[in-house]
Amino acid sequence: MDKTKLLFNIIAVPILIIVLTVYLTLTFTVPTVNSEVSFESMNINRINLVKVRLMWMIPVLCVAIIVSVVIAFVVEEWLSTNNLIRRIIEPQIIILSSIPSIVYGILAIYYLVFNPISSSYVSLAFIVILLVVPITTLSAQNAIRNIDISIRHAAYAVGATKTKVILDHVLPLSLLEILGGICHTISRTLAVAALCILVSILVESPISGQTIVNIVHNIGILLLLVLLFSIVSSFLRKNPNVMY
Amino acid sequence: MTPIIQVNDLNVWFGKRRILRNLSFDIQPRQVTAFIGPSNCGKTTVIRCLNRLNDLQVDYRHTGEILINGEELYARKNKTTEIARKISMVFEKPILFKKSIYENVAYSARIRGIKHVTQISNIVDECLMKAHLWNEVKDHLHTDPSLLSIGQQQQLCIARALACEPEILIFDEPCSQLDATETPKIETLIQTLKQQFTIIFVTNKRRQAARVSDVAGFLYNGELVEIGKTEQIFTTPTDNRTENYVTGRLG
Amino acid sequence: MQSHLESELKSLQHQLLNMGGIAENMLQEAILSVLNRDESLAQKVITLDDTVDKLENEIEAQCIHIIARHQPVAFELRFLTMTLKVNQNIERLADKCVSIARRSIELLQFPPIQPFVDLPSVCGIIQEMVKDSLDSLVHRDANLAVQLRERDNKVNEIYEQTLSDLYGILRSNPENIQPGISLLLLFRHLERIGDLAVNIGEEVFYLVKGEVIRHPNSD
Ligand SMILES: Nc1ncnc2c1ncn2[C@@H]1O[C@H](COP(=O)(O)OP(=O)(O)O)[C@@H](O)[C@H]1O
Ligand SMILES: [Mg+2]
Repeated sequence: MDKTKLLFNIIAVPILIIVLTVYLTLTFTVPTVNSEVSFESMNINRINLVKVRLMWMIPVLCVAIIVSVVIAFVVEEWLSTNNLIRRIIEPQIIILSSIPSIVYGILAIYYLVFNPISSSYVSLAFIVILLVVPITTLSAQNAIRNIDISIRHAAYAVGATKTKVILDHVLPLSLLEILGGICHTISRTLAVAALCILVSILVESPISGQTIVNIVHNIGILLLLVLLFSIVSSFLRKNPNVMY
Repeated sequence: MTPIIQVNDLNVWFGKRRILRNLSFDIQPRQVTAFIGPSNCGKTTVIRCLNRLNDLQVDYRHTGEILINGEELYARKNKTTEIARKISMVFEKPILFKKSIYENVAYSARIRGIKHVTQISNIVDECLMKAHLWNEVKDHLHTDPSLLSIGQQQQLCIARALACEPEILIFDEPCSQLDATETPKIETLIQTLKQQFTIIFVTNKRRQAARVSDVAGFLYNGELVEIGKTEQIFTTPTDNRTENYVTGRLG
Repeated sequence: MQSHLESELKSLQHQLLNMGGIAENMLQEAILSVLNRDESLAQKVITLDDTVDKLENEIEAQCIHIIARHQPVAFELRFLTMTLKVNQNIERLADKCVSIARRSIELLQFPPIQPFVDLPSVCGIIQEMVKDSLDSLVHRDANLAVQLRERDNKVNEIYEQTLSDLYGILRSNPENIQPGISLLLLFRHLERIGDLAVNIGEEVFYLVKGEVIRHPNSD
């Protein structure tokens, strides 16, 4: 069993990386329609452009989070541990979630700040998904797995159906920890966004007192949010023994 | 009397390991049937076959017939949940939902599809009384059950099992976590419940089986060595291994 | 709430007393059959023996089952050992009643020997003893149980007296030798029944006080 898992990793990770590279290179090299149009000629503020693009990623973030939770439930509840699909998916999730967010940050800076025109929303969405899905899924999976199996037994023993067990027990019991995981990912994403804005400001203007005020003004709120979400996530992860 | 459960030539595997070998036995209604044997001999596995809890195990596999009221338990049309409602189970540890005392019992009633509030409340009261717990909890039905003693929690589990209106009640070493003062309560309760339900009871304390059961079966290494009236098993066992076990020389 | 063992012990005592009641009845009827020269009563006693034998087996099996299942200690253990022994004594008592009934039938073949002892009063004493031994069990009355021994001593005296009287009668009327022997045996049975009542009393004393008084001379 362990051997097959290892084999999957060895085969699947390179495939994934190849697909990723090919996709990114394509979006990078194939010129979009108005790629010749330069920044200056369009006369728009680079910082504002970055911000607008980032705003557009909020719905993507939401969808990615929901999808991750759904994936976690499907994998944990409906795929048995020796199911082929599960054996493929699970190692990928673990590996991808261990990629530090700075890697995604650099990718995002490249597309947002230095190549804002040619980069499509799709590639940005792709980065958000890679940043969010593995970690959220993993933490949600752990939250579900942490529930004592005996609770399920007890529920089945009084005649609950599988959906009943999930809705009445698994979800309420794991909810706090899942939310904690979500807060954690959101704060990670916000940090990456803050990084992008920071770099775009620095590119626009040399360092001066005004620039620092500008930075604080633009990303201060984001950093505060990051802090807030981190605190909330660590609080939720304690999963206090409350009745549900 | 026609048996309520008939098991013919049951074999169980977990993965490649064979856990049960060629078990055949009948269980009569309104009697306490006990399975005894040293730990890891397969007692839990046997009773989890009877309510299909083993299905949750990934590598579980079985052959043979299990008939409940003459109907094959694993037939496709017999859904797991309907069986579980007929056969209710109380576990080794008192496993309670993190809900109030009232809600724990009410859950079973709701699962049965009962929606009317007064009806549910009646069922809860009645089941708590049947589990001899009513007097202890009637004043704080809506508090956290983890404040109760372990024995009372186990009684609450019994009340919850009763609220499913089962025909068969399964107890898996229900007293293993209890101290000497609470054990007799549960034992007496089982004796009382026998008048209404068929009870299957697993224990690794031979004395307890002797006290509580009407029929006892001795399991050893996944084999049902002997099953018969409790008096017979404890006075004139036919198999040497049974003799050694009930006298305490084995396991 | 009553434990399972308690209710089982109760029903066991109930059965034991029931059997004792039957034996008491048998004694009554056996004696009447002698006094009234009534063969049908004697036959009835003989048939009742089967019932008592069955009951004895049942009670014994139950005792063993209860011991095997509940491993009783202290009072409950004493109760069960007492039950086992009293059970046996009652069965023997019933056997003696049957023997009396047999003698009674034998005696019917002969004309009655003129009374040389107050048979009804001896029978009365024996019946009282049997009744009191069972009563002491019902009421857990150790005093009543102990008294049985003294009363038995008196029965023994009467028995010795009767023997020598009978010897005299038979010597003067040797043609009465056959009914005489039957009568002798009958007295012997009655005396044995007295002993059995004493045994029952001793077991009851053991149950209540936890002491053995069976062989007071041995220590
Ligand atoms: N899910 C499982 N997978 C593999 N082996 C199992 C599983 N559950 C139980 N077993 C094995 O089956 C045997 C019987 O277990 P069990 O029925 O729990 O014994 P008992 O209840 O008598 O102590 C044990 O040896 C145990 O290791
Ligand atoms: Mg077990």
